Amino acid sequence: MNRYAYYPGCSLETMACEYDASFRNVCAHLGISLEEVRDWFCCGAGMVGNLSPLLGLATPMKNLALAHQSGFDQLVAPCSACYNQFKRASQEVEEDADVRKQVEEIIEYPLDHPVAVLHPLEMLQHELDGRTLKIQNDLGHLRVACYYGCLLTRPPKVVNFDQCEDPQSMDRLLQRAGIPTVNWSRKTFCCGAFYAIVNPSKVLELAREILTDAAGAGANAVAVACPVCHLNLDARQPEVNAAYGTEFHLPVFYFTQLLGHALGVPSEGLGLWRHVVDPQPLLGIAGVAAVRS
Amino acid sequence: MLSPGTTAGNGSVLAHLQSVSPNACFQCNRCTAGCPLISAMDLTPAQVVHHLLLENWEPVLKSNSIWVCVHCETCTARCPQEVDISKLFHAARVTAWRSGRVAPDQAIATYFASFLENLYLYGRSAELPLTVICKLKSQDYLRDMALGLRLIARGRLNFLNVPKGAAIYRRLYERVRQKEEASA
Repeated sequence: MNRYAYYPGCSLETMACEYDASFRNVCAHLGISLEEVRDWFCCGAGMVGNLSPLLGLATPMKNLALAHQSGFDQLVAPCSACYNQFKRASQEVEEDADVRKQVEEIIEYPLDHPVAVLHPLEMLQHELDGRTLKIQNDLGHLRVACYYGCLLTRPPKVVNFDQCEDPQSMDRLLQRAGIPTVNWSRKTFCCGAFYAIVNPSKVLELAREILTDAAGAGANAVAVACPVCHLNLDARQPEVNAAYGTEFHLPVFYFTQLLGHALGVPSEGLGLWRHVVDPQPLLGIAGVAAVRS
Repeated sequence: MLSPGTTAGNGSVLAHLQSVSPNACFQCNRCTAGCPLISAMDLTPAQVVHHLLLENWEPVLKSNSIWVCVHCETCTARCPQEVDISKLFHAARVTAWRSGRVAPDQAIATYFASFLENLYLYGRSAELPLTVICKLKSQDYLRDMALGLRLIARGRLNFLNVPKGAAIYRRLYERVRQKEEASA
């Protein structure tokens, strides 16, 4: 059996704890072994590299070194930003011997054996290859717009994930679990990410474009694979409605929550009540009362 | 803190970053056409690349565009000439920061600084303390307050992570600082 080092990333401990819970529970349900990287710390999140490019490379590479030190040669990173940081740093270190030497000196670890970095979508695709999924909950009434965002898919030469402009892996995974998905055009359009800190109204404009396009394609739900995409589309949805007079009520799921529910993972383990747009009625779960505000 | 004013030593990773080439650009403007934040920029991505091609760094370092970019990588992914535009923005941003040319009203620079201070303390990005540091620095207390309360009500923001990797991050940080100061 494959062993995977698991790097949750900071957001999955707080803002996106339901992504963490649902992913772990899906893996446990499918008998996939995840082991959290011991003493992991922030990947740098693209922020550290803005002030020191060397520290920006050393930060993710040290985390990969921690995984390697514990005997792993593959690591799963569910947050798109962490995933992108790891892939980018690994590539830069691999391509330039001088850069690699400097990073090795800082992290005090030789980088002779690269650790393969996988997104849960890639890992699950690999693990489920040839397996028949036992579907416990029929979600045939859903029409899901799979939203892949930026850092999972770009730049293609760095992440080498699916097809850059029209990725299909999340669609295929959900379809295998009996969940219909829709064709739409904003699946890799940027949500504005952390630009919301400077200019929230600009990000509401982008979120509105994405939600409008999803709804226009007939979707009654959106699935994401990144905590920041989720924040901007779900937690800011009331602001979008207030700013534009729209009446969106589109539940935004982590794809692991939908997969988990279809496979019969108990709904307490999926963290659905933590969403701002309550997704439970759509899934037919009475569940925990959603918070109103 | 890694301070503004530290410049690139020969052969440093910063110098390596600054050597990313804009030269293949033929100004097709595909980068500009696909940029989701173009309406907030004073220089378009194609203009930034053009300035850099002429080795004209000053207008780029003074622009707000380099602080607006969130590195969604759409430009880099679509460039037919394979210019890594997003990386050029990254290089310009680091250069502007290091040479002390960041305008004080650049809220995003305040956010970066808060992020790094928070990381030095916790080793992980703890969102609630980060928000507090950032609000104290910017003295903008009300923005996104409703959003924050919504997340707290759902148990999605907390102070209670006790990060174990903080000491490892701090050691990296100090080693990089010493190396950069030695080569400056």
